Amino acid sequence: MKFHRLYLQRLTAIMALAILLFNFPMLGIVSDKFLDNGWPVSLLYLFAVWALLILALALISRKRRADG
Amino acid sequence: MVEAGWGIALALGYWVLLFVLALRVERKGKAQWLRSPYVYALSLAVYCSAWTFYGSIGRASSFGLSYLPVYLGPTIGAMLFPLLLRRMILLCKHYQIGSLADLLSSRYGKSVAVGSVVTLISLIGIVPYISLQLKAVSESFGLLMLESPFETATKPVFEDTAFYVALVLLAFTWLFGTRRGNMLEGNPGLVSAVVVDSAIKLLAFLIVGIAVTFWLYEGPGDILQQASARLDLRQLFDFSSTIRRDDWIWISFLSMGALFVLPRQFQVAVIENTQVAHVDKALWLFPLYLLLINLFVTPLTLAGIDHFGGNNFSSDYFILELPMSAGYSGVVLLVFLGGFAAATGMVIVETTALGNMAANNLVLPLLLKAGWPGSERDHNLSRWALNIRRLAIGFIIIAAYLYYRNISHWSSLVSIGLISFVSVIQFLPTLIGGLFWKQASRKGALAGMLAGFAIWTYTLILPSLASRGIIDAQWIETGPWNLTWLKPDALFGLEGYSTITHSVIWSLFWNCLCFVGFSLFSGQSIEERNQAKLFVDVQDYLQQQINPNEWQGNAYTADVRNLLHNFMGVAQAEQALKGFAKKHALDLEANPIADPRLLAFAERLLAGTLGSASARILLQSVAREEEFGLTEIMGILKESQQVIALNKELLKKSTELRKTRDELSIINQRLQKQDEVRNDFLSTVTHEIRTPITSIRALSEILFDNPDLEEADRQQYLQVIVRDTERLSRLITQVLDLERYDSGRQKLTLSRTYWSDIIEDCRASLKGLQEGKHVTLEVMISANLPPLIADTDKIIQLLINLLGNALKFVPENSGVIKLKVFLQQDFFEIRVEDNGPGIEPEYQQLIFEKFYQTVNQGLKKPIGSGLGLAICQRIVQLHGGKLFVESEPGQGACFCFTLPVLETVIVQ
Amino acid sequence: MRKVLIADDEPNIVLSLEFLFRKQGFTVLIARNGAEVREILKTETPDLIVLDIMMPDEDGYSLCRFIRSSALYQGVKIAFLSAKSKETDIRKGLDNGADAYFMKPFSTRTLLTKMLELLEKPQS
Repeated sequence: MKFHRLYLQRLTAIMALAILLFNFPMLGIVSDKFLDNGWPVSLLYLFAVWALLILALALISRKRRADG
Repeated sequence: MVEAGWGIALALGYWVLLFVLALRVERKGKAQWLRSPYVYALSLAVYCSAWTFYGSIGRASSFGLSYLPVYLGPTIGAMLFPLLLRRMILLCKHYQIGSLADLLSSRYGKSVAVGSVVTLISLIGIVPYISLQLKAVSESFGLLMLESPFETATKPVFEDTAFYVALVLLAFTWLFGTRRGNMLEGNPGLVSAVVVDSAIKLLAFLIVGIAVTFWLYEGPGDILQQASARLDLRQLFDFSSTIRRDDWIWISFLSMGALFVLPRQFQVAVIENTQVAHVDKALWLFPLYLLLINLFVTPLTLAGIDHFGGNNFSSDYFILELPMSAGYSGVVLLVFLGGFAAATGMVIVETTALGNMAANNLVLPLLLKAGWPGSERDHNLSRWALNIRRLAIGFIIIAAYLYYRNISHWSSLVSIGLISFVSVIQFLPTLIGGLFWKQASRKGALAGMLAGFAIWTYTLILPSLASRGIIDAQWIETGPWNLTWLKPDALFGLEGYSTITHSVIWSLFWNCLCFVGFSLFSGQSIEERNQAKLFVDVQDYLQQQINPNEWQGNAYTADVRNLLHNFMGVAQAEQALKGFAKKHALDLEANPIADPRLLAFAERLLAGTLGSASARILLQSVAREEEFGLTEIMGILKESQQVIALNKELLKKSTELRKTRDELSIINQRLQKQDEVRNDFLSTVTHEIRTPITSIRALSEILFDNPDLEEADRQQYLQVIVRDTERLSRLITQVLDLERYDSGRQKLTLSRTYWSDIIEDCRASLKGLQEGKHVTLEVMISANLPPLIADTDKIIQLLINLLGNALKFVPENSGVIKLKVFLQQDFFEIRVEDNGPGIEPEYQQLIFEKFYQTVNQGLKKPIGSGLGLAICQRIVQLHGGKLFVESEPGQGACFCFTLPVLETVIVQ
Repeated sequence: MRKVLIADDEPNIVLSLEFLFRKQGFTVLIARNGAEVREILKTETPDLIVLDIMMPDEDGYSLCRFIRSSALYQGVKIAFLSAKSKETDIRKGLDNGADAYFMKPFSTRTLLTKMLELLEKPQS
C-alpha cells in the first residue's frame, strides 16, 4: 500500500510537471525562436520534454515493480 | 499505375493475413502473446487512426505544431492510467460491464436512459469519424490511381473502393467482434488484428519518415533549409496568436479526456485488458508510441511544403505523395498499407464497441421493456443479443458509408476527428463524477450529457450543415431571431476562439453545471445510491476480502482450482469452492481470470492446511504480477514437447508434496500426542513427589520449631518422615526404572532358574505383610515345568509387585491369594488371583498406564500409587510375554502374565 | 474457638496441619474425602476449610463450588492446598470460589501466617 501511494504521488508530480512544461507560459519562452542553423527551438523543446517525460514514466513504473 | 494494382493486391493480402491471424488466435483459445503488456500498449495505439496517419501532416502544414496537442494530451492522460483506467478495469471486471454506456448506466442506478443517451451521442458523434476512415482509405487509394479526391468521391457505388472496404471491415467485425455473448471475455482475434495494425502503421510512418528525410533529403537540417527558402517557417513554430494558445490548451485537454471516453479506447483499454498490471507499463509505452509516430510529422510536412507548396489542397496526403513523386514504389505501398491498417484497426474496434452499446444499451432494453421476445427470452436472449449486435454493426458501417458518400468530402480529416472528440468528451464529467463522487446522480448525468450534446450540436453541427447549404445559413451570421448572443460561433458573446475550442468551452461548461447542479439539488433513488457506493468505494469493496495490492496479479480460476485439488483433495476443494461461489454470488466458470477474492479465499484455505507462508508461495506461483505469469510461461512451453514432461514432473511433484503433507500431519499428530502424554506424566510425577516432600518438610519444621514436643509425638513424626522418605526414594527408583524401559536402555540379564526357587524368594519377601494381614497364600505349580530362562531379579520384582497389590486389596483375615504357574503350549502362564473387590471393566486397561489417573484429573486411583503395574507390564513385554487382568467387580481380580518357554528339558 | 476443616487424603500431611492449627488454638476437623467433607458440613460451620484438590472420590474444585453454592457457608474461608502448581490449576481454584491457593510443599511458618491473615480479612 505504501509503495502504491508513493507510486501515485510520483506520477502526480510528473503529471503536474508535464502540464506545466507543455503549457503557457513555458511555451511562450520557446515560441518563435530559432537556433543559428535554423532549427525551431519550440519543436526541439517539445520533443525533448516529451521524451524525457516518457523516460521518467518508464523509470517510475519500473521502480514500482522493483519495490513490489 | 503499377502501384494501384499492387495496392489492391497488398490490401487484399493484408486482409487475408489479418483474417488468418485472427482466426488462428480464436481457434487456439488463449493466445499467450496477446497477454503481454507490449501488446496491450500496441492495442491502445488504436487511438492513432487514419486521422493521425494522414491528418497530422495536413494540420501541421497549415497550423504548424498545433497537430501536437492531440498527442500531448493523451501523454498526460496516460499518467492517470493507474488512477483512472485501473479503476475502470476493476469496475468492469468486477461488475461484469461490457462498454462505456454499460458502465455509466450501471453506475447511475442501472439506468436505461443513461445508457441510451451515451449510446446515441456516441453513434451521432462517431459515425462521421468512422466515415472519415473510409474516406482516408478510398482517397489514398485514389491517389495511387492518380485520381483527384473529387473524382474518387463521385464514383458510382460499385466502383467505389470505400464501398468494398466497408464490406470487408463489416465482415471482419462480424466475425471477430461478435463471437461471444459475454463481452467481458474480450475478443482476442480482434485485438490481434488491431495490434498488427498498430505495428504496421508505426513502421510505415517511421520508414517513410526515414526515407524522405535521409534519402530524398540529406537529413532534417536539409529539409529545414529547403523549406525555409520557400516559406516563412516562423508561422509554423510560434505560439504568439491567442487562438493558437487557447487551442493548444483546450485541444490538449480534449484529447486527454477523449482517451478515456472514446468507445474504441474503452474497448481496448478496459474490455480487452487481460491483466490490470499492464496499465503500469502502458503508461509509458503508449506515450512512447505517440512520440514515435509523430517524430517525422514535421520533417514530412516541411518536405511536402517544399515539394508541393504551402497551401496544397491535399496536404493530408503529403505522406503518400512525397514517396510517389520520388518514385519510391515500395515506400508508397507501405504508406498506403499503413494508412489502410490505421483505418482498419479503428473501424473494427469502434464499430464493435458501438455495436455492443447500441445492442445492449439501446435496442435490447427497449425490446425487453416492450415485453419482447416473450416467453423465449430466457434461453435465447444471448443469441438474440448477438444478432442484434451484428445488426447494429451493419447499420453503423452502412451509415458511415452513406455519410462518407454524401457529406464527408467537404471537410478535412482533422476537423471531423475533433468534432467527434467534442461529442464524446461530454461523457467525461459523468464518468469522472461517477467514479469518484457518490452524490453524482442519474438526473445530473442525463442533464449534463444532454446539455453538452445540445451545445455541441448547436455550435459545431448546425453551422457546418448551414455552410453546406443544408439548412438556412442566414441565422448563423446574425444569430437566431437576430439575437447576436445566440450566434453559434460566438455563443453568449464568447468570441476570439476557434470553433472547436469555443464548443468545448461552452459544452463542458453547461455539461458540468447541469451535472453538478442536478446532482446536488435532486435526489438519488435507492438503486442509484447503492450503485454509487459500489462504484466509488470499489477499492474498499475489494479490500474487505483482500488487500488489492496483494493479489492484483492475475491467476486463472482453473489454476487456483487445480492447486486446491492437489492440496486439499478434489471433493473437499470443490465443496469449499461451491460454498465460496454461493456466498459471493460468483460464477467461477464464467470468468477464466480468478477473482481477487477467490485468491484470498484460496490463500486462506491453503493456509489452513499448509501454513500461511507455504500458501502464499503456492498462490504466488499461479498469480504473479509480472508480465509473464506461470500460465503465460506454461502457454509458451505448451507449443513445444517439453511441456508434457514438465506437466508430468509437476504432477509428480504435487503428488509427492501431498504425500509428504499427509505424512507430516500424521507425525505431527503423533508428536503432539506424545507430548501431551509426557506432560501429563511429568505433572503427575511432580505431584507424586511433592506429596511425601510436603509431609517430610512440614513435620521436620514442626520438630525443629517445637523442641518441647512430647516423646510419643516426636516418635510418630519421625516415623512418618522415614516412611515418606522411603516412599519418595521408591518413587524415584520407579520413575527411573520406567524411563529405562521406555527409552530401551533396560537390558535383561538372563539366567536359568526354576520356578520353585523364584516363588520361594517371593514368599520370603512378602511373608511379613501377608501374616500381618492374616491372608492365605496358595501356590499351585504344575509338575514337570521346564526351567525359566529370564532375568530372575526382574521376574521376582514383577511377582512381588503383583502379589503385593493383591495383598493390599484382599480383605483382612479372610483374604485368599492364589498363585498359579502352569504350561500353556509353548509358554508359561502365571496367574495371581485374589478375592478382593475386583476392578471395574472401564479401569482394566487404564491401570497399566503410568499414573493412570491422568485421564480423570483430580481423582485418585482406587488402587495404590501408580507406577508398579506399568513397570510390570514393561518387564513382561521385554521378556516377550503379555500381562493382562481378568476381573469381575465383587468377584476378585486375576492378574495373568505369560512368558515364553525357552528350554524344554523336563525337570523331575 | 475458631474451627478449621482439613480435607486431605494424605494422612501424613493431615498430621502436620492438625498439629499446626491445634497449636494456634483451633478446633480441627478432619475429612479424608469429599463425602466426609459434606458429612461434616451438615453439622459444623468451620471458619476455614483447607481443601486438597486430588482426593479419592471427588475433586476439590467441585467441593469448593458446592460449599460456595450454599448460603449456609457464606462466611467460610476456603483455601486450596495442593501439589498442583500450574497456573491453570491455580486460576481454576480461584475461579471456583476459593479465597486462597497454597502450594505443597509449604513452609509451616509462612502457611500459618497466611492462613491467619486470610481469616482476618473481611469477607469480600
